[in-house]
Amino acid sequence: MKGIALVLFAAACVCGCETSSVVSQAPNPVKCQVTLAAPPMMDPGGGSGSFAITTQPECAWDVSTSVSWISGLTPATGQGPASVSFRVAANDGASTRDGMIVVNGEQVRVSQRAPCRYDVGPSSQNVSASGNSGTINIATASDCAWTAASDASWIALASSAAGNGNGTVSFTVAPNSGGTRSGAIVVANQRATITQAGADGPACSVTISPTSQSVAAAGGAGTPITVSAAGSCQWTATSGATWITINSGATGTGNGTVMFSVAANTGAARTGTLTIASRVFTVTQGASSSPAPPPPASCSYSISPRNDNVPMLGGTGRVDVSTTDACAWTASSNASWITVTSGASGTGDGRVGYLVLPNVGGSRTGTLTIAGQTFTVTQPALVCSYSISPGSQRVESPAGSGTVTVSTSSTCPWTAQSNDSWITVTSGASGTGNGTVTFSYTANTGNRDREGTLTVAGRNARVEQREPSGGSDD
Amino acid sequence: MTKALHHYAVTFAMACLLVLVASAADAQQSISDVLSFLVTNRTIPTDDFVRDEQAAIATRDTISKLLVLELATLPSSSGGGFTYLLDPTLGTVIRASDSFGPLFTERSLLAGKGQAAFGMSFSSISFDNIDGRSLRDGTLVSTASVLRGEATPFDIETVTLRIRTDTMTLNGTVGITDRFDVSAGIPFIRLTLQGERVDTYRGRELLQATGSASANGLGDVIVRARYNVYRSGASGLAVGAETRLPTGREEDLLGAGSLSFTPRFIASYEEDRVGIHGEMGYTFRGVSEALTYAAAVTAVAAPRVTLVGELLGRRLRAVGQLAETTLPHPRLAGVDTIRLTSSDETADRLLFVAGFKWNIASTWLLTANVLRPLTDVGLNAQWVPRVTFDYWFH
Repeated sequence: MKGIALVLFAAACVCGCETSSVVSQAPNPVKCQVTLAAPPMMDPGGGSGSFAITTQPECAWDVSTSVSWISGLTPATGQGPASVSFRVAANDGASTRDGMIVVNGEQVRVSQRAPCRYDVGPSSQNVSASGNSGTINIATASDCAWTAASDASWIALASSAAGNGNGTVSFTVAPNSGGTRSGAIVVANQRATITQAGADGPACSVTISPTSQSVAAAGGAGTPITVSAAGSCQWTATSGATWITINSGATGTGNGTVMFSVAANTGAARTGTLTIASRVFTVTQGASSSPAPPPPASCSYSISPRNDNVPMLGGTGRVDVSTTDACAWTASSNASWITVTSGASGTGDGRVGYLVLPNVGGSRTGTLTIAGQTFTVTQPALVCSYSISPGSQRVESPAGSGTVTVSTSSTCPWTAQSNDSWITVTSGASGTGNGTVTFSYTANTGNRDREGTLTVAGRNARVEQREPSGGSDD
Repeated sequence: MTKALHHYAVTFAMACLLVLVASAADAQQSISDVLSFLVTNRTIPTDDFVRDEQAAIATRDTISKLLVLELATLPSSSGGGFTYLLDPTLGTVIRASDSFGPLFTERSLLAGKGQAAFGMSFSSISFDNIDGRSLRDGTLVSTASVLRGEATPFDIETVTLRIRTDTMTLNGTVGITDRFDVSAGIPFIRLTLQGERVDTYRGRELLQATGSASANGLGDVIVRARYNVYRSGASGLAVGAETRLPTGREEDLLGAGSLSFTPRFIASYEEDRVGIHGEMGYTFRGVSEALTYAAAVTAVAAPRVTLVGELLGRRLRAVGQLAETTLPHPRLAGVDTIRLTSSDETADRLLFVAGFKWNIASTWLLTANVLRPLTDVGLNAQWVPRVTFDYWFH
């Protein structure tokens, strides 16, 4: 009986025959990341540059670019830390340009300055014979250098004669004891002309009549001013107030007439002058007898352009405001990295200047509110870096689907595409910031394992699919 | 006696029927699959997946063969124990020797005509190393990448394996004549495998995969026969043959997957209280062809107790040994790929066994012994304990 019991026990053991198993697979770790050092800013004329790749000695890499003005990437492939050289064509554009070089999905930005352009103004000024001081404004990119020089001994520079970026040159004009004379201050090869009236000598005595006038608040055309001078005497007439406009007779020789008009006064009484051959003509305008009229009901504003793409390193820009004369407007920045540098307010047509700071983070967008309109400024990121996970995955032979996740800054764009016909990207073909790419694959009906890839954010995600008879691994 | 044998045979046959039915049960993911999963590189970019898989298969096959070898060739009870023969002068059956014989080495003395025995043995093995490499401490390298000229790989995958087997074997022996007996052993095995694969890239460790599997079931059934060709007292010469039937599920490493056959020669010399036994055989087919040899010394310490010491040897021809191969990386300059794979070397294994046999009452015999490997080759545990209960229907 004992033997029988033992045998039955054995049989019971056998009846319990079974197999159980559990396996799990973690995502593949990210290896062989590359770090790229941004090359220095390239000169407008083009030339050669280089940047450093920092990675582990076993890590292979390849370099490419889709930018036409960057060429000669050498070496195009390699392994371990290295320096890659490249060539940049001349920049004929008006602004700094940026291009990307891609190394194993990581991007490094190449920036190239545009040729420096200078706006010097005013281009001409009139100075009385007694001499005066004045200023000339220079507008240019912050990295553009300039020098100023006078080409006339009676014009002396009163401030620094050199600078970078926007600046102002002050000058003084010596009294003129002779006839009318012209000179110039040359800044960045541009001339700002200064015309000085001649002295009132016996042979060149100039008188005006009348010497003053009162104008109603409503404004309008002023009484013509008669200029009496010898036949060879040259003279000029300039307005000292924005609301007094010289309509004719801004310059003349000998006798002549100066016609002017006065804008309506919506505020308190005011006084302005015209200077005609060193003679001062005073215009007094009474206060408005009624509250300031509201802007025309039909005030409409337009700005041009409506947006701007500013290089990574920042820069300056201008926006023109168009509206009717009596329509007032203001301009303000909605972003801490954009500053309104000129034209913060105005009436009628005008221009707003702004300054954008360099961007050391991800790409960004900011706005200005100008005359109630939104002006958009976009600035690209310094560098977008991407990582994907998993870099490689194994799937079984039946058809199925899988995912690849993308990690990057919130403003960095990316795309995903399949490199093999049996893999199809079903969602997440493109995106910005972190995201997930979903793909499907067909059944492997061949007699061996096969391998395919997806290119996600510039990096290859490998998919290995078992042959039908292969074992399961997850 | 005859009735008892009849009952025993019927019950045994029913058990075997149940065994056959149960062994046909469908398996899930097999232990072999899990083992393959654990030793296959998935994170080191070798750019040669085919070679990775070939190396993994070779490694898996070697571990599997060594494991099956341990399970399928663990000796069952030898013919030792009570031995009887007919004393013509007395006309009755008497014990042929005071010794209960060796543990695993065969003995030329047989059970005796009409004698039958039934036994059950238990053994538990927790494997520590394979071919001298630790399975448990995470130093078993499956794949690695190293910069040429550097001693330490910069990227390395290591595997930890915890393999344990618990085996219960039912044994039966029947003496057909005084010179011929047959015996059988039916092993029931529980095999558990737990493992993990860790990737260490430039000092940064990451657990890559874990896997566990267990399998219960019938191992390879053993059938043996011995024929005594010469006898002088308790000494003599015998020939034997053993076959192992492929009843264990091969994919779960419970069996060899093919029938093996081992003829052997047996010699015994017993004088007074001491006996010396030796055998030599050759195994055809099965996991591996092998030359097998064994020697045992027995000493009758007391009328009911026999002490035994043995050496068991094997020369295995087709199992192979784990080895590392180093090849240049197909794409990366100055980088070598190291893979764990298998080499086709003949393997020699030697085990030392010590134990005792104790007649605890009537014809009940308790056998206890431990095995200890003397060589690094193969899959080894520090100590393998084993306990056997045998009962003689005398």
